[in-house]
Amino acid sequence: MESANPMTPSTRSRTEKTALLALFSALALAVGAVESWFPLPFPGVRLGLANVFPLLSLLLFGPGEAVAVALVRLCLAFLLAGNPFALACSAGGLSFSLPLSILLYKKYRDELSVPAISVASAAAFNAGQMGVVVILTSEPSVLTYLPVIMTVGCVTGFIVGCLADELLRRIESAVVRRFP
Amino acid sequence: MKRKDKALYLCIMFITTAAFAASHTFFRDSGDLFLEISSDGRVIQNLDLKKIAPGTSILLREGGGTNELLVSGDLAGSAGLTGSARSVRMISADCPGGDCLKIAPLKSGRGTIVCLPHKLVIKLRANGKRESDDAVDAVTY
Repeated sequence: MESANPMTPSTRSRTEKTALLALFSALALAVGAVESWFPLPFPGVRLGLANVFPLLSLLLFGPGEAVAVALVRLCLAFLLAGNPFALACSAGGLSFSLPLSILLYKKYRDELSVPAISVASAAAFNAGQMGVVVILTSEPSVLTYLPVIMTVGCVTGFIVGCLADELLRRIESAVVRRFP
Repeated sequence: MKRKDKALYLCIMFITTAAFAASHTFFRDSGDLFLEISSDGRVIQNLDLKKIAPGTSILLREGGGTNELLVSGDLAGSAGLTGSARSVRMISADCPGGDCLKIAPLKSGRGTIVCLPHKLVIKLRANGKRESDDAVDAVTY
């Protein structure tokens, strides 16, 4: 199976892998920042294009690397924006979405497409995010917003999944061209 | 599309539909509407919506910041008598991000406006407790 994945440590040096993960983290941060300039008409809802990079790390390298990219991006975004509530919501969302996407990828990678994993991950993120809001406000009625945020999240999750899938194909073919 | 994609999408659609149904069943109020404003989990104001004239703004200084609500709507008709013709929206807030300003106006006893940085929750409740006014309402009777 190793030959099927050109990005395994056997064909890429550890330094190159670290550099690529750093690039993914930086791109995730930059895309997230640019995205915040174009807010969607729903509060707390973003296109989530930055999530392409943790997902891509999961597909290329594995769960540990996906968690690392997601956490680096989360911490740096907090340091730059300084919004503890955004940090709490994102952390709550990630604590649901990352384990689910890792589980789905590890157990069902042959039966589920990348967009499907991304949609499930987005739905789990929204559920975790709303859980944090309920805890912070002690107000269960805010859950009325969950169906709206989940519907939008599934659409954006599908777009993110398609993007990650396309990027994966392009990166893999580029690596195969470079290291035939 | 792979083999189990459809099953996963159907599962998520079912969960979302169930969440929509639950929010309509459990969180929808009707009858006389009261505007309930909570800060950090405790109710700080409970206002009879039909007694608030359209165009009234409510200034809130809670959680180390300031938020302003605007009540708008119609006084005429039976909907005006219960307050259900009114809508309430956040028009200004000094919280970081300003997400509460993007939340759709509250009307007909549905929805909640949350300002997370100021720990404010604003919602409409039917037949809520009147804190300061238990007198018979001349408009209603």
